[in-house]
Amino acid sequence: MSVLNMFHKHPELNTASILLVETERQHQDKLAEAILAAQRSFNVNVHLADSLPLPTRNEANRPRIDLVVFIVNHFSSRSLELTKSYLQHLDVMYFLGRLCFLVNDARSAKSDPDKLHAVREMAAKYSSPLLFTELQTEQGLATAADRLLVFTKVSAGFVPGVSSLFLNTLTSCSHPMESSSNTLVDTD
Amino acid sequence: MFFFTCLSARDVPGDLHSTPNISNPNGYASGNLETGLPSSRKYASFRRFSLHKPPSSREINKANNLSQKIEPEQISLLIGKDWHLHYVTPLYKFSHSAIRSYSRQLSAFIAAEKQKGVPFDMGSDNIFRVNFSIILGIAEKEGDSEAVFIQIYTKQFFAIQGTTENVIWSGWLACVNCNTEYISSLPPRFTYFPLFCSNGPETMTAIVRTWFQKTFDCNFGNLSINYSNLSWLAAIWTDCKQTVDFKYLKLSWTLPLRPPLDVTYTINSEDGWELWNSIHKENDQITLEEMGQFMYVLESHFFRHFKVHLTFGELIEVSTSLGVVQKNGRIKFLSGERMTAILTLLTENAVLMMPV
Amino acid sequence: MEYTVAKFLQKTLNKIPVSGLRRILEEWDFLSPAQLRSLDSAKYGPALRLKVLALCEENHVQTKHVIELDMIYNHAYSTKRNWSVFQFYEQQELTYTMKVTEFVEQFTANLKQLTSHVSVVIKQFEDDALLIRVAWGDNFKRPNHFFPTYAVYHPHSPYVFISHLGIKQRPLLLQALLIAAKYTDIKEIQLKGRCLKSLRDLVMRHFKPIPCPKASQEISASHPNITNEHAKHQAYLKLVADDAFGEGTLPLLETAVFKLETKFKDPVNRILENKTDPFRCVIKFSSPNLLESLKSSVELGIVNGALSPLLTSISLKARNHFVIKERMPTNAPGP
Repeated sequence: MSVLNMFHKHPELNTASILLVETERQHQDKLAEAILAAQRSFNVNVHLADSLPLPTRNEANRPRIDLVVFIVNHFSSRSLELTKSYLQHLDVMYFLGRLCFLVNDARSAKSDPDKLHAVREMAAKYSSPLLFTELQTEQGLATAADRLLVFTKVSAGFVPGVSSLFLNTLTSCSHPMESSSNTLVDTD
Repeated sequence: MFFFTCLSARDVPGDLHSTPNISNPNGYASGNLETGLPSSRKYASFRRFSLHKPPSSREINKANNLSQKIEPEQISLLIGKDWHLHYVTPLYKFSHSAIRSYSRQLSAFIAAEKQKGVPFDMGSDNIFRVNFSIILGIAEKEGDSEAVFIQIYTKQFFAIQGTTENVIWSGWLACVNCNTEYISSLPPRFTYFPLFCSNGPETMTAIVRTWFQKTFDCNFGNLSINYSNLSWLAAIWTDCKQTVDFKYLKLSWTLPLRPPLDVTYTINSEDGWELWNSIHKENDQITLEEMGQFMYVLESHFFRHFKVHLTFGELIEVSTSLGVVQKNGRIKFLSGERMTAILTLLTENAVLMMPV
Repeated sequence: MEYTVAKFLQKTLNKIPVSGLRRILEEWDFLSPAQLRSLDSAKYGPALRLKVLALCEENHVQTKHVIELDMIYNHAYSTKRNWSVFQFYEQQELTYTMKVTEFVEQFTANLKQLTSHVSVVIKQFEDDALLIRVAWGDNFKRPNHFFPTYAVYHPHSPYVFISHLGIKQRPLLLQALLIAAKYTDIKEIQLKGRCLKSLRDLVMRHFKPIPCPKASQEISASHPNITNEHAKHQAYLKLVADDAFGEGTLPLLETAVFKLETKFKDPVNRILENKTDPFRCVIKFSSPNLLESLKSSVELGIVNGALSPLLTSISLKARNHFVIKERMPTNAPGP
């Protein structure tokens, strides 16, 4: 089974790479452009994919991927199932803070609380952050791009003294059920 | 500076208390809620904890036909109309014995709104009369409040004596099998009707809602029905086959292609019933697994022929000759069969959708 | 103006959208140029229509004129109707070349012989199509002009497109068509749609995709720093879609109906394993442009690879109503 490996390549000078994975390919392009248009102090390469594993023919030219972002479409249950299957193709090092899930338009009237719940459970299970974004507007794209760049900066090692695992303990999504069942009286 | 930016990166909506490691663990987090009613903390967390988990099984009493419990003329009020579903927060100081005065108050309010110039789609010469009534038999448990039915009649202002009035708007508030812990945790003088159904012009619905909001300090919101609830309804209605005959089960999906593709999947009811029978054990309960499996096998039958996963799209409508329900919160009952189980499901859904 | 003529004219005028009214009136050629110019002042739809009614009354409009107007409208707005496709079989004389006037005479005579109370009008339009309009009556009623049957026939093709044909009138119309067109048999193909041109293209295979080996073109990304890992795969999917459906605009179909009577198979859970009867269900696909939707399902990767044979047979066999019975490995599309 081909697995995307973290440390098989050398990093490049002042450059970071992000991989955006989205099955339906609706928002990838715009988000990639927003990332490249955002203010940053380092170069960024954005790779777009619609599934994992990535084609082997690109292996030679591909740089080291610092951050993997899964854009999950929470309107269809198939998207969630497919994303779970893609996770098998990631090296375990990515789960230590170099992985992030992204959900778009969670405030929409059409969204299903059950499916959102399922996405949160998945994010919590893999101890990864879950971002809620509004990629339909310019402002939303810019905000999402800024957030992703913060993660990328740390994953690529550009912030001295902070590792991606350290950041992960602060940003990971917690399980939606655990906290409320244990602290029934205190939390409210 | 760095910590600040990373806090903004973590974005979990609403639930500050779900990440206790970042906020002060000694209960400082929700300061303003501490000053509120002491039981409000208890019921909000009850709601989130006990109700967020979907029930693993549903009771469907085989001999359950609402038409047998309610008088015929009252059941005819509920059946055959397109209901638009809403959820409601608890009503303050609502009393079943005061419904006559509520009728008068709402009529006066409608007349006042008309004077103010609020847009109406009905003619400007009409006068409106409101009638509140109680429908016994819908509420199941002890804690449930009896259902209240509202009808708005209209008549031409210059009409001669003896002309019949027409019903232009109907609505009802109901509470069926609601969680007793939740109801008992409500402060006194609060009555709880989680479910509100309306039929008629939207302008009138807005006026009725405004009146309720002003009089009882409650809030309304649109109820939408998600995939799992639609699947429950499909399972419940298919299960009715042994008592009531119906010809088909129709599921409507929409796939997000360019342009969007609608798929209507109509299943012959006898074959659907045989399929259901081979999944469902003979008892009064439908479990979550049975329901999930029923939908899964139907979807995979489709996949076997067309190689397209229906789950890429959304299920928007389930219909049989016993009723039609749509994802955007519209339901039509065409029979009283198993209506209690369906109302229980809708009540639970309404309770869940209600914001704290 | 006689009441029935007035009502007929009013109903016909109401159907025509205001934007196209001018053009249709010009084609009708019943009102003089001066009268047409006088219509310029009326901007509102209802006011415009009232004016037209008044002008027609001035010119002493009769039923036959309104019929002509109705036909012009239906030719221009044929997408408002649902058309079914019928095919002729076994031409009686292979070397027979159809003369339009002969066809018209024969058809009218035959139909009038089969049932006396009909109104038949045939008009030929530029694209060589014959538009046949039949208004049906009986011993007690005059021909009903509000629900006529329309048929479109291209003289050199074995296809007729018919709209709004009642069950009782079906054998009469088909018989008259057979005799006039000199064929032995006519059958209905399971193809229905709204766009006449698309139906024609489908049956006459005008759009059939030519599978030429074309190098897949990758779409280059907008920014040099963006790399699409699956660019090649996406280009390949586009090629598969183009192969199956052809490039360019696809014929416009709105629905496809599959009546499935296949056995239910579930090897994992072994449900209904012992049942031999088929599992009956009907699946209807509908979309503003069905074939585009199906093509995009391949391009977006929702279908893994190529479409299923049931879906490709829509364009291959030029039909959109299927009955699928259990006869693996091939399907049996029913009549």
